Amino acid sequence: MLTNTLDGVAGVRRNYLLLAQTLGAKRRQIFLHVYLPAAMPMILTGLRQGLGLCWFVIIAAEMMTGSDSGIGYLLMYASDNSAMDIVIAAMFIIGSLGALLTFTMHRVMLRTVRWQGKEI
Amino acid sequence: MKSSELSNHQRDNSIALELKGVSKTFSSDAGTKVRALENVNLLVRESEFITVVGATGCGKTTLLNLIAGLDTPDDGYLHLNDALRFGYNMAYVFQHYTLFPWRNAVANVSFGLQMHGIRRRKRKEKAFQLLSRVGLSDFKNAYPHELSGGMRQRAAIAQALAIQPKLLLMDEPFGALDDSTRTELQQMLTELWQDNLPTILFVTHNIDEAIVLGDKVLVFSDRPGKIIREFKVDLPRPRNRMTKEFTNLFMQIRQSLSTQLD
Repeated sequence: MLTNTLDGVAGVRRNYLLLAQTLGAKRRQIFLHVYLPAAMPMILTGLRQGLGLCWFVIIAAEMMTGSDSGIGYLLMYASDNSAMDIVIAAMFIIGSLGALLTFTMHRVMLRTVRWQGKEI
Repeated sequence: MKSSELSNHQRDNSIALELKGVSKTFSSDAGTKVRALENVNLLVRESEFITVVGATGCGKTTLLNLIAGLDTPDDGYLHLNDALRFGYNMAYVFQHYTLFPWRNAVANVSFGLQMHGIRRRKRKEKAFQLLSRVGLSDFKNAYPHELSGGMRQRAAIAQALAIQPKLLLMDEPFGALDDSTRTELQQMLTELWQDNLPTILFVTHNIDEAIVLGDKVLVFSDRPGKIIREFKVDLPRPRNRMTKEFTNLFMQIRQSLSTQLD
């Protein structure tokens, strides 16, 4: 029952479950060695999107009144004091850190789920 | 025990599995019933290489699934040798989805050993050994999508052999391969069988393949699936397709398959 539900959720082909069973996998092992790796592309995609959103939210939170530290705060503070050089530097840092985060996640995905979309 | 005695002992006559009057009907959601198997009687001795030939979709896969215990018969008696245990010494090789796409060749071959708690070093060693046995030593770290169809089936056979099966169920494993690859793999499978003499039940729709491989060829009828003829193949291995006996047998099987089409 649980496995069937998970089956639909993770989109694991029944064949892989059969294969694992014929090779002696128990329920816990099927979860660990079939469902988890099969769901890995979805998990990592979620993680990547989540991380991007997180970064955005952190910066936005730092820009709020009441905040007194962080790059977002720095940017707002510099802007209030017309220090355009610092504003641009902060923008640059926010942008490149975000890009780095996305890039790293992308690399991780390529490494761990390079089989994705090539099931045979 | 002397070695000659041992080899005799290895191919003894004890029964690997027996089916008596086994039937199976599937009903679809719409209520239509499909009789997949009807009154199947079968006795397989240990170390026998049985091939089952018949049209695609005639219940041959159902037969294997029943034996593997993935499905239960509606009717009849199905008995497996007590020593046979699903997941331990019975392996199943499919036509498709034979390897886990997220594991490379070594990890795929060692899957069964890993499930049985064999240590990493030992199972790697065993996997290397099996991969070189099936001619894939240069592709140890390749992922399934990087392998050709023939290589994938080689790896799949190694994966199945890793758990040292006493019974090997094979469901058209070479069905998607081109002719020359198929011939190579038939040769390899014959040798592997001769090495360890597992009992093999090999399903195919290819008559030629059935004769090349089996000790015995079972001819299956189309819906409902039942065994209509049984041919003993008394030809020395490796088998030559160009002999008269071979072609004779081929024609007889062809004949029995086509008469049931009328």
